[in-house]
Amino acid sequence: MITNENYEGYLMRYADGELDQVETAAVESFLAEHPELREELEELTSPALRVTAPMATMPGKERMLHTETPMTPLPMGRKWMAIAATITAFVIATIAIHIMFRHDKSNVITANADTIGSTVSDTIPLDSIYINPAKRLPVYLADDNSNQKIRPIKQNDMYNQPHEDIADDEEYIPSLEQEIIPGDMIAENQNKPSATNVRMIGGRVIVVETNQLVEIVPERNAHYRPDATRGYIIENSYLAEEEQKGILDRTIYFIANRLKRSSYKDDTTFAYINE
Amino acid sequence: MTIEEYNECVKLYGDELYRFALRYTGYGAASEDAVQDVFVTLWEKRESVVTSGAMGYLMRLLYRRLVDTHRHKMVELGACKNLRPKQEEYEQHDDFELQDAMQKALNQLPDVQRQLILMKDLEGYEYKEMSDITGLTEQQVGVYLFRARKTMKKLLEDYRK
Repeated sequence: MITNENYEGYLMRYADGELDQVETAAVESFLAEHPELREELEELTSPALRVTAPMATMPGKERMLHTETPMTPLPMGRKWMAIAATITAFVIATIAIHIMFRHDKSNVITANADTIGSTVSDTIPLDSIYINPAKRLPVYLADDNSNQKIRPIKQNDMYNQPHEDIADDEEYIPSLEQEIIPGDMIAENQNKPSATNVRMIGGRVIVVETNQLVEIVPERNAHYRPDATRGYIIENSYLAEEEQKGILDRTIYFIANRLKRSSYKDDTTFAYINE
Repeated sequence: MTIEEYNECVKLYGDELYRFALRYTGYGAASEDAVQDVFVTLWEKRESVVTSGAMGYLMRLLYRRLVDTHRHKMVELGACKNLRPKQEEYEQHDDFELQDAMQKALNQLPDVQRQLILMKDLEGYEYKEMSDITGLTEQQVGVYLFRARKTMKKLLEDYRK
C-alpha cells in the first residue's frame, strides 16, 4: 500500500525499474492521483542530475601491482647453515664494533641495559652501526599464506636491485665478508637501518619480544605503534611488497642490533603478519 | 585468485574505484589512500577471493573504508556535532580538487545518500546489490536515493543561480 508517508521509496524504485508488476501498477495508480509527484519524479530522474565520473586515473596504480613469486623454504641443512652463519657473523660483528669504539665513545649515542632491556649486557654504541644495505643477513619472515610458518627471504626479495654475486633463484647464505663493515659510519638518515625512509608500509610488521624498545624514528606517513605485548607494529602503508620487505628488513636489523641478539629464533623473534 | 588475476583487477578496477572514491571524498589523496587500502586487503585475501567476485568484494571494502575514514575525518575537522563537514572546511584542505557544482552538491549529502547515489550512477548497481553492501532494505535504498536526488536537484539549482 503506497501512502503519502512511504511513497518516496516506491517512486524511486519504480523509476529505476525495480518493482514487480503488482507494485508497478500500484505506483502508477498512485501517480495518477498525484500528478505533481509524477512531475517531480521526472525531474529527479533527469540525466542532468546523474552524477558522472570525474576524468581521473589513479596515480601510482602500478605500485599496487605484484610481480614476485611465492617464496620457497630452504632445505633444512641449508637453513641451519644460514642460521649458523648468522650467529657467527653477529659475534664477529659485535667484537669488531666493540674494538672499534672501545677508545672513543664520546660522539656516539649509547644505550645500556636499563634503557633497552636485559639482553644488553654492556654499554654499546648503537647508532654508530652502519649496515651496508646491499649486504645484510637474511631475515625470517612468516609467510602470510602458511599459518606463520617461517621462511627466509631470498636476497632478491629483500632488495629491488638484484645482488650481482647471487643468481636470481639462489637462496641467500651470508658469508662473513658480507656482514657489517665497521668503517662505514652513519652519516645520513638515508642509510641508517632504522626504517627512517619508510613512507608507507602495507600490512603490519610485528616485532615480537621487543617491547623494551623505546625509539624507532617514525617517518611522517608511517605509524609506529608500541604494542605492550608484541613490540612494535608498523602499519598503514601501501608500498609494493618488495619495498615493504626491504623496509621490514632494515627495521628488524636495526632492532636486532639494538638488542644485540646473536641470532634470530625463527618462530619467536620476528613475524610479518598480514591480517 | 592468482597474482596475475590480482594484477588484472588492479588494471581493470583501479581507476574505477578511484573515481568513485574521488567523487565520495572530494579530494585525491584520500581517494588514493582508500583505493590502495582495499587493494592491500585484496592482496592479503587473494586466496579466498574468486576473480569473478573481485569487483563486488572491492566495492564492499571501499564502502566500509570510505564510511569509516570519513567519520574520522569529520572528527578531525571538529564537525562531529552535525556529522557533516562544512563546505569551507573541505575547501581548506590542500587536496581539495574537485570544485565543480556536482561535487559540491555531493559533498553536502549525508554519507549514506552519497554512497548510494554513486553506486547507482557511477556503477549502475541494482537495489539488491546496494542493499547487500549497505545493509539497508531495498525500500530504504529507494527512500535515500529519492531524498538524495531531491537534495542534489535543489543544490544544483542554487549553484546555477
